[in-house]
Amino acid sequence: MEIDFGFIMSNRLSGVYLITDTSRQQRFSHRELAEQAQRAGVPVVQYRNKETGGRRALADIRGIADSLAGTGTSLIVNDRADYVLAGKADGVHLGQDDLPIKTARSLLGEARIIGGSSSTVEEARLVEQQGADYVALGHIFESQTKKKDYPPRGLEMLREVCSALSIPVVAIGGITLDNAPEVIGAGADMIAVSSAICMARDPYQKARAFMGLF
Amino acid sequence: MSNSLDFRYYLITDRRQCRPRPLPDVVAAACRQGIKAVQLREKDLGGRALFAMAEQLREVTARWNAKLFINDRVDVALGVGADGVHCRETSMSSRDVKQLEPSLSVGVSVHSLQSARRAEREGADFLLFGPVFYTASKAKYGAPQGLAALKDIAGAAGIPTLAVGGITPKRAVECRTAGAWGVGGISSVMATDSIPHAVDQWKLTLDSL
Repeated sequence: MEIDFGFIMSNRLSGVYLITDTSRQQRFSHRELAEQAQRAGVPVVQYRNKETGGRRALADIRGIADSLAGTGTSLIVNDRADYVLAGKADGVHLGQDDLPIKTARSLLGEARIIGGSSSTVEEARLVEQQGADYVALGHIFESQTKKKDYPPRGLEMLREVCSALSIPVVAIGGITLDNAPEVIGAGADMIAVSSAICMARDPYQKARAFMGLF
Repeated sequence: MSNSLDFRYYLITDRRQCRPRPLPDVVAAACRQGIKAVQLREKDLGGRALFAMAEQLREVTARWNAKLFINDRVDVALGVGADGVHCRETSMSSRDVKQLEPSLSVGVSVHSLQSARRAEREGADFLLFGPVFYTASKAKYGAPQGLAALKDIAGAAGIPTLAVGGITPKRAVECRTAGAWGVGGISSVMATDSIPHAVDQWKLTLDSL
């Protein structure tokens, strides 16, 4: 009997995609934010830390992976496929300047999740062609977390990417509870959120509110 | 773990010092002249550019039977089939690297006896200690460590110690006397007009490369 696991993957890649942030707030650690998100039902958490070396990053990743094990919430590591392997995370997210998707796939295998960033329809198509499991498009709106040197992509491009691609699309950049319904309405499978949850007085409640939109 | 290494000169890259020549050309010329170990260390490059550079260096080092080490990034090392990884004190540990791929050789940069001991305990194959002498690229990190500190580290370590930082062929002899197995360096090969001459100097000083 052939079992199609595709539905599991697409199921998993729907909802809130939380990027934990400890540079703009220090009340909670990456792990605490991930745990709160998990309790709120968030399906994907991304660990992103450009400031510290691998020793610290791996300790963080192992801690989060430990907390999330068996919960159904996936842990994605930004940029570093080696940390994914060593820390037993679920996948890697690659920007346009990061490792080639094909290289990451050959290192990580088919079971792990690989996502790629895009900022145009063309880039999004390429990310899909190279074998990514999801594509992130951004920034949709002006973002406080990441200052960009190009204008926001807007809902129109998001619609275009969502209809052009068959893999899940993660909308990223400046997404709040107020504008998230439009983003989901434009076809985004997931909404990436960082500040709006991490900086909230109660990240757990905020994550729940975002999850309630799906 | 072993008390010896099959190279004594560890060539560390800096593509800026090669300009206008492309880094792979400089590394190829050095390997053709006998360099046996190269560490790709271009910390400002993102994964994609670093991977592309690593692929090119893998090709030229393999052609001349030289070992290739990648600074910090085990994923890039695995992706191009490098021989080893070079870890900083803050990088993932040698133990973690070897758990991912036991065949990878691991060098670790250390700046104190304490971190040298930790690196050895965690399974490093060799240490890179420095800066032993004054070097412009490391001046911002404070005073050079000096030969006495090198002697302490090399004497305490059960794995080979390479000395780095402002090392000229003449000073390399002093480093060897202090217990260093060999030396590492950037500019004497990267920034010279005559790579064959520079490499020959190292060969002469160190007996073998």
